[in-house]
Amino acid sequence: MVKTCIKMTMRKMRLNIPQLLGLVLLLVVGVCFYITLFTIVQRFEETAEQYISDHAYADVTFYGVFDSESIRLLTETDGVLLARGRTVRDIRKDERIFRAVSLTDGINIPHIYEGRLPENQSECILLKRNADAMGFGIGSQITLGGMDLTVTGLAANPEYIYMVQNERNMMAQQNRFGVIYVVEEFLASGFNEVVVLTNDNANINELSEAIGAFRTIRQKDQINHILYRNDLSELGSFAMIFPLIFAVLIAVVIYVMLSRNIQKDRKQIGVMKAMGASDKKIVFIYLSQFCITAALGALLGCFTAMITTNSIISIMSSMFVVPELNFALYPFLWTAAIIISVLLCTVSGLIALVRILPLMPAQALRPRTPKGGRRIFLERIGFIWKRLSFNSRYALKNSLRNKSRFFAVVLGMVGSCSLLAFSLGFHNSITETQNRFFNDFANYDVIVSFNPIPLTQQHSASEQIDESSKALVLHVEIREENYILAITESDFDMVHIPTAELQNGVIIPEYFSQMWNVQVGDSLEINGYKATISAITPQHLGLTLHTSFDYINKLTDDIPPLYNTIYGRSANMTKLTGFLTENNFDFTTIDDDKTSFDSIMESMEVLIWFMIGCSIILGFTVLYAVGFINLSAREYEYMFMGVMGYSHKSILLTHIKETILQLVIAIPAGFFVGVLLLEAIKGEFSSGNFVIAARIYPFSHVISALAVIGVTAVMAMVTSRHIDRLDIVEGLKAQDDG
Amino acid sequence: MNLFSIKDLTKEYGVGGAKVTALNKINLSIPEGKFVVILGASGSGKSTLINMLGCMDTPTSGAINFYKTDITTFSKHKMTHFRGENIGFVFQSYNLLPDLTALENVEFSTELAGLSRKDAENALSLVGLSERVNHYPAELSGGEQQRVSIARAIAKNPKVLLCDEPTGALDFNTGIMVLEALKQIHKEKKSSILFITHNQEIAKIADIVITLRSGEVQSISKNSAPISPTEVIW
Ligand SMILES: Nc1ncnc2c1ncn2[C@@H]1O[C@H](COP(=O)(O)OP(=O)(O)OP(=O)(O)O)[C@@H](O)[C@H]1O
Ligand SMILES: [Mg+2]
Repeated sequence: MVKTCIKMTMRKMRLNIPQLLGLVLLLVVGVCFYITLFTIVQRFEETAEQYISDHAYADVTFYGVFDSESIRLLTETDGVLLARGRTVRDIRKDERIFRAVSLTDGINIPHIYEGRLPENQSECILLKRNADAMGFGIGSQITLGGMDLTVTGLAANPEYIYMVQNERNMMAQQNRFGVIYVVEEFLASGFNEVVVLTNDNANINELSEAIGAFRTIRQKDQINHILYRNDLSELGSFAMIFPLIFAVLIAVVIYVMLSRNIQKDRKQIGVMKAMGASDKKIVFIYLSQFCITAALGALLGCFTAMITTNSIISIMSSMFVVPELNFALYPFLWTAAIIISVLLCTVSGLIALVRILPLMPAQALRPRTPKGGRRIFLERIGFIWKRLSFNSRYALKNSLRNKSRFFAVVLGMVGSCSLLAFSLGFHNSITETQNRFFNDFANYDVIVSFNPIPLTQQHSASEQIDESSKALVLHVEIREENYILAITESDFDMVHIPTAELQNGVIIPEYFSQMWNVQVGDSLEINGYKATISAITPQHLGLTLHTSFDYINKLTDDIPPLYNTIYGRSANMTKLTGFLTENNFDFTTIDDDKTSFDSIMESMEVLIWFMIGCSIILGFTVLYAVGFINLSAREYEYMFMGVMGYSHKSILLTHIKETILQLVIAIPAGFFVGVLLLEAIKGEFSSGNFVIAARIYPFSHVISALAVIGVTAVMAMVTSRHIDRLDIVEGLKAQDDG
Repeated sequence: MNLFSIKDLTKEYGVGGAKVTALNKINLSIPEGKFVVILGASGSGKSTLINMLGCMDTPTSGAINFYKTDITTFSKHKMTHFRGENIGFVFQSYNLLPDLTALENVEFSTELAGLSRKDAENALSLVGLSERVNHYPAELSGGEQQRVSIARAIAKNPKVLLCDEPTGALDFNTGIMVLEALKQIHKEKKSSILFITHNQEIAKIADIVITLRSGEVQSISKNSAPISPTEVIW
């Protein structure tokens, strides 16, 4: 039996090549996207886990002032495997800041790309990414605080998977902020950090208290780690959303294609049935071509993914440094992609087939009873109907009669339009987020940080700042997580918040109010004190809670009248930065923040362009596939109209009118779905450091709409040429035999 | 022994006001091994009748015994099997599968019956088409296509050959050729043939002639001296 069935399948496939090619393309793009992103996520996760454990990245880091004895005691506490004190100091050198970190034996072990560890006070190792950006190599000299250091090795460290200087300056520029590891004697002062490896028994809070830490950061809360995790989960959610849309579109395309084929082959199916072919065989003949195509497309997608994965990994590697990272093939992922693709095709094909299978052969051999003939609604509204030309009437009637085909085309258009709007909108949202922070929120030019001093005392930096405002920026605990609280003067206007409300309580970012489900007037427990929420403001970057010294003093007298931060505005920033640099102050300017934000977004950019590319390919493919189906379904109608004496022009006009109707429905729907998608992933992209402001700019809408219209126009042109070449007699005959 | 015994067979199409009674309580016995012609005007229910006999459709009521088995009680699956095993169809409009060559069309049927390619080739040579086996239906004339379709029907040695106006679309000479082929098969393979036509002349080659009229049996006549197809003139 199988032999002739296979032959028939093969020949039917040959006839369907243009449509099947469209399907292959869809599958390639969908599978490639899925495999690429999942491989990247999986690979980064695995490699990073390995890297972190191989290099004994500290489970917890304590900040404060520590002596050797307390560290020794800590080591003996239950749950602590290893604890080491270290000194970390940021040293400014011209335009650059170098963070000198003393090496700790057995914890936070650097990965050495080349060279060796420092052996004495005049040697250091430098992060390789810094060396590359700054133009240093082994043997280079760095002079810090009057001491010469020779670079003896180029390294990486799990502490700096992401190059973050601190919470404020999240993505440091690699040629401006460098990290060197030195021997303890180089820094020659007391320990200000303790890095600890723990096991499950450890009670971090007790340890922290015992050693008297100012601040305790667990591995998972470390800013590097958070950012890196966020990026991975973003990738993961993209990896889900996009292929899902692809899957829906693929299913629709197959359904429409197969419905069309079955309708055309109705008589053949009847004959096969009459000859005693079972349903299984008929299903085999019609479905296997799609399954073969699906498997082929998916496999091709897997191979394409090898190329894209490699290049995207290498681009991403400049963002996160995980030294042992390389490409790996996940057979499971491939198998899953292929199985899912084949299943998808099978299911959508079966849905199309169920209509014909229950028919008795005698029924199948008779022509289909037309659903049409029914009058459409508009026909009943005589005065409108009469005013329409024959073309318009025909176009309208057609669209409503062949609903599934009509809506398949609409769905294809919606799909590509929404993906485009979404991808471009994602890009817009980042710009929007940036604008809202830098233009609408931030009202300062510079932030200077220092060790706390009494409020009554003037900090020397403020002399050169035109307008300045004092603040105590603290890490506080709310609902067992760490947040930043800025306690400011009551007339604080360095960010756009309702200043008057500083007196009455704590102003929190909108994102937190949603996360904690609290409103203005509710109370919020901060470090154990019950504070009132006096206002909620939109804030998108470096989320900070604000309150005033006045309010805090009403609440508690635990907080001493100190400040550690100056927010400032200045007319002459060049002069100011010159001054601050000269005096070795720790500061960031709004421009630094902007640059830092831009470089964080650089890694996203790669992804976004990849997405936009996929959307475009997807859009073209769907419109192409659906257009083809549309065309082949129409042939007969057009030929019939031709026989009746309608010119090609009027036939084409009919087609164009229907297409315009489809576009009019599809484009707004596409925009709507695009917004939905953006809103859906917004949460995935937001964290305590970064809250995306979902927004699609009008320009993106225009582009998406134009792209869809453009591709549709191309398809219409192909259709027109095709109609011109139609041989009426041949066509009618072929239709009769089929 | 009776090939088919038909009891009170009724077939209605449609429902309500649009109801059409195509067959109205037909009772018939068709003996084994005969060449039976079914005559009747257009719309008299001829096609409907042989569709029921060939398990191509289900009747509204009544029974059809094939030898001793009531085929109207069959499940869909059994019906499919029954068609594959016992029935060969020849349609007015050939109905060859366009994606298969002449030989493959016949093979499609022999494979279903578990027979070999040799059987398919034999059937084609029986209808005089050994030369054209590798041509697609689109490359054959109407008469040739109809002969392939006959070969396809007989290759699996069915008990019954059901022919729904197989000469309807053919010219005189080609029609005669097809009739000869059928007659020869009837002789050689001893299969029963039910042959629909509205041509009175063709009825002369039959052993039995059944005439339908408005869904009822008008007459059954036995022909003691059937003529040979070459003697038919229309
Ligand atoms: N699917 C159907 N739905 C409704 N009515 C039908 C259907 N099939 C056949 N009929 C009706 O049943 C009656 C018998 O039809 P049938 O096809 O058996 O006639 P016939 O004798 O084969 O005619 P012809 O010589 O024209 O082929 C006709 O009146 C026809 O209109
Ligand atoms: Mg008929």
